[in-house]
Amino acid sequence: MKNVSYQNIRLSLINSLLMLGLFFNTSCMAANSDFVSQEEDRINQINSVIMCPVCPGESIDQSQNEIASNMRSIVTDLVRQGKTEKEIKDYFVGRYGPVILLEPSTDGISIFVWIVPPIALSFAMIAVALAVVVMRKRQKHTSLNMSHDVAGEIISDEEKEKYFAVINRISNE
Amino acid sequence: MLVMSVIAISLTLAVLVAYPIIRKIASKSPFPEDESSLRADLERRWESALEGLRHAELEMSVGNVSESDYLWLKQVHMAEAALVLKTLEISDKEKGFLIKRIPSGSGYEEEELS
Amino acid sequence: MVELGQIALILSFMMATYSTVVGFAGGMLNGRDLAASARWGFYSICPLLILATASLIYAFVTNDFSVKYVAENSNIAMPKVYAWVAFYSGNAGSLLYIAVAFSLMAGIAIRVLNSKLPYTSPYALGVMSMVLLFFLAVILFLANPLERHQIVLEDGQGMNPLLIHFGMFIHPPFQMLGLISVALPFSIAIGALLAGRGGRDEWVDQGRLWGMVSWLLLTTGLLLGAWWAYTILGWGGYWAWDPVENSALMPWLAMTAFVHSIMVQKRRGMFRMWNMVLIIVAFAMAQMGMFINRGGPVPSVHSFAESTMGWIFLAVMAITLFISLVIFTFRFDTLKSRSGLDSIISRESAFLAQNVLFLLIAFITLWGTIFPIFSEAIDDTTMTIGQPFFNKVNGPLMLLLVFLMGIGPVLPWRKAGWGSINRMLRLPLIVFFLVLLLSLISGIREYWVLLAFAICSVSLTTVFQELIRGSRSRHSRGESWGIAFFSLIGANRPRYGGYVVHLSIIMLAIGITASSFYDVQKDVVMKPGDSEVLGKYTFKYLEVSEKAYPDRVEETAKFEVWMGDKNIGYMHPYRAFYPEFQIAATRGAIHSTILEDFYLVPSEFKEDGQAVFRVLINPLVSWMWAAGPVLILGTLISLSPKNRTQRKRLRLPNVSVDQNPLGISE
Repeated sequence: MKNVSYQNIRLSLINSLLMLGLFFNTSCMAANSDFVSQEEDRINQINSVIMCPVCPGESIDQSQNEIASNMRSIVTDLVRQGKTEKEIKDYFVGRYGPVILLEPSTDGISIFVWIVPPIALSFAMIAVALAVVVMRKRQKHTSLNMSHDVAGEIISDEEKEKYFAVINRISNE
Repeated sequence: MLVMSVIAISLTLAVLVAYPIIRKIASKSPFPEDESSLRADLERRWESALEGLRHAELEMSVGNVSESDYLWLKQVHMAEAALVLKTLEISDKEKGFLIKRIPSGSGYEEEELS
Repeated sequence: MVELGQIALILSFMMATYSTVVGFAGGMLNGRDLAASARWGFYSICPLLILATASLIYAFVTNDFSVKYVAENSNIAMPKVYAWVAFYSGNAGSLLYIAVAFSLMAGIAIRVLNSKLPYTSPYALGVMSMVLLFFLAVILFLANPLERHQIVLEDGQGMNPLLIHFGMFIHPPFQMLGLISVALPFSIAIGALLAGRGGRDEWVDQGRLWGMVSWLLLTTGLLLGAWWAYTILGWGGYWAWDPVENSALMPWLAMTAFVHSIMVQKRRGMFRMWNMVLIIVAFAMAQMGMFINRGGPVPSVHSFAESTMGWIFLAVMAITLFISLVIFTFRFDTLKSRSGLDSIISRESAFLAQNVLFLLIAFITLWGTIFPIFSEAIDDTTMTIGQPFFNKVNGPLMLLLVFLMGIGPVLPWRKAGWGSINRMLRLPLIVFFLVLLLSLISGIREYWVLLAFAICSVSLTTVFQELIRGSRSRHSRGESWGIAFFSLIGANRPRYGGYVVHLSIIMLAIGITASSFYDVQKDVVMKPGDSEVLGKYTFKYLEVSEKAYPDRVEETAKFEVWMGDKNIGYMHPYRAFYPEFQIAATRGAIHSTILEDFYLVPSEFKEDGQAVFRVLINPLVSWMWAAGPVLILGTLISLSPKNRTQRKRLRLPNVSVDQNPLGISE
C-alpha cells in the first residue's frame, strides 16, 4: 500500500512538472498586456465589434478596406476625445443603424438572442437528468435486465463452472 | 470520333449492369451470413462480453476501478458470455422459450417462434 | 473533349438513376442479382465523373473560354497549376467535385458494406445513389460546369485573388469532402432502418467506421480553414464565427457526438433511437452547410455568387429530414434499447451529457447564425451576430466539454463506485489546484484563462496517468518500458487512439485560450530606416519594393527582426492590389516559435514613403497547427483494424446441438 502511494506521489510530481513546463511562459504572456498602451487596446477592442458596412461579415479591425481604415481613424479620434465605448457605438449606430454592431444589443427583439441560450441550456440539463432517471429506472425495475440474474435462473451451477472455465481460457489466451 | 467513343462507353455500361443479372453470379455464390440472424447477434454479444472482460482487466491494471467494481464487472460479463454459450447449446424448442426471457429489446420473439 | 465530358455527365445521371431504382428493388425483392447489378452500375459512376472532371480541367488548361465556367473562373494570366483550384472554386465546379469525390468514397463504402452487411447494403446503396443523383441532377439541369456559351471571349475573368494561395489546394476540397461524407454513415443508418435490420446493432460497426472517416475529413477541413485564414487573410485571427464557418462547424459537432454515442450502442445496445436521430440531424446540418454556402440568406466572405441554387438545397434538406423522420417513426419500435443505466455515474451517462452538450452548442451556433433572418422578417430590425456573442456563449460551454473530455474516459462502463472515483480522480484533482495556483503566481488574472488551463491539465493528467499506469503494469509483468507502452496502445487501439485525439483537442484548447486572451496588437506608421519595438521584438523597416505582374501590383516590405538580442533574420510581408477586382490581398510575414507567433502585416503603403503596419504577437498558436497531425494520427490508430490474433480471440466457438462443443472432458 505504501509502495503504491509513493508511486502516486512521484506521478503527481511528474505531472505538475509537466504542467509547469507547459505554462512556463505564462508569466511572459501575462506581461504581454503591458506591451501595448491601454488606449490602443481599447481602440482595438472597439474596432473588433464594429462591422465594416461594405465587407461581408468582417469587422473594421479585420477588413483591409479603405472605408474600414477610415472608420478605424474615426474610432481612434473618438477614443482620444475621451468618449466611452457606449458613446462611440451609439455614434456609429446613429449613422449606419444597429446592423453596424457585431454584437446584438439587448433592446427590442434582440433580447431574444441572449435569452434563448440560457433557456436552451436549462432544457438540456433537464433533458439529461430525465433521461438518466428513466434509463436508471428501466434497469432497476426489470430484474430480467441483469444478465447474471437470468443466468442464475437458467444456467445450473455446474454448467456455469464449465462455461466460466472456457471463457477464462479463451480470454486469457 | 466522339460518337464512336460514346457508343463504346454506353455499350460497356449496358454490359456491366446486365452481366450480373443474366449470369446470376450472385445467386449462385454461397449465401452470405445474415447480419440479423440469431447467430450474428450472438456473435456480437459474445464479442461485447469478452471485450468487456478484457476492458475490466485493463481498467483494473490502470487503476481506474476499485476491487469491488472490478469483481462486479467481471461477474456481469462472464454471465453474458455464459448465456451466449448456453443459447448455442440448447435445442430449437428450448431456444424459443429462452429467447423470450433474454433481454434483447427487439422483435426476436416474433421471428424465432413462428 | 468537353462534349465527351458532357456525355459522361449524362451517362452518370442515368447510371445513378439505375442503381437507385434497382438497388432498392434488389433489397425489397431480396434479389441478389439485382443488387449486384445495381452495385456494378454504381461503381461505374466514378470513372465517368473522373472523365467529366478531366474534360473540365482540360478546358482550363487549354484556355477554352467558350466554356462559360472556365471564362468565369480563370484567365490567360492564371498559372495553369491553379486549374485544380479553379475547378472547384465556383459553384458549378464545386458540385462536380462533390459528385466525383462522393462517388469514389461511396463506391469504396459499398464494397465494404456488401461483405459485412449483405442484406442492408442494397438499401444503403439506394440511399447513397439518391444523394449522388441529386447532385448530378443539379449539375445537369441547373449548374453545368461544362456548358458552352455563344460568345467566345478573348480572355476570362480570372479567379478571385484571395484564392490564389497554397491553402486553396487543400482546404476547400477537404471541407466539401467532409460535408458530403456525412452521407455515408447516414445512408448506412437509413439503409438499416429501411431493411428492417436496425434493431440488433448490425450496422454499428460500419456506422462507427464511416462516421469516424467522415469526422476526420470534417475536422481536417475545419483546421485547414483556420490555418489558411490565419496565414493568408492578414488579420491575425483564425475563426470569425462567419455563417459559412458555423455551418461547417455544426455537422462537425453532431458527428463528434455521434462517434462517441455509437460506442455506447456497440458496447451496451443503448442509445439506439438516439443515434438514429442524431445521424439524421447531422446529415441535415451538412446539407444546411451546403445551402448556406451557395447563396444563402446570410452574407459571408465565403459565399459563392448569389444564386437561387441555395433554396433548392434547403428544400432538399427539408424533404430529406422529413422522410428520414417518417421512416424512423415507422421503425422506431425496433429500436428499443437492450439495457438501461446501471449507475448515474458511469461512462454511459457521461457520454449522454456530452452528446447533449454538443448539440446544445450546435443549436446555439445555428440560432446565432439564422437569427438575423428572423429579426429582419419579423421586426425589420437588421443586426449582425458575430464573435462577441459566440465567444461569450459557446466559449464556456466548450470549456465544459473539455472538462467532460477529461473525466469521461476514466469513468468505467456501467458503474463507478466511490472507490473507483477516488482512485481515478485523486491525482487530476490535485493537479487542477496546483495548476490554478501556479498560474495565479505567474501572473495570470483572467479567470477564464485560469479555468481553461486548469481544466486542460485535468484532461492531460487523466491521459498521462492511465498511460503511465498501464505501461507500468505491463512492465511489472516483464516487458521493457518501450515495449510495454507500445503494446499497451496496440492492444487497445480504439481507446488509446481516442486518447491521442483528446490530446490534440487539449493542444487546440490551450492554443485558442492563450491566443484569444493574450494576443497583442499594434498599428505603427513607419518609413524606411525606422525601428520599432513590441515586447521583446525589435523590427526595422528596411525598404519597400514594388513588382508589377499582369494581374496585380505587389508591394513587398523588407524587415530585419531581433528577438531580444538575437537577430532572427528578415521578414517580407506584402500587399498585392488587383485592379480588375479592386481587391487588395495582404500576406503577413509570420515568425513562429513554440511559444508565440510574431506577425507583421502591411495595412497601407502611402505616397510619401510612409507605411502603416499591423504587428501582432499571438501566443501558443503553433500548438493549434501542431494539433492537426496529432489528431489525424490518433484517428488512424483508433480506426486501425484488429490484427488476426486479436480477432481470433474474440471469435465465437463453433458449436452445434448435441455435441460436446466446448471440448470439456468431464
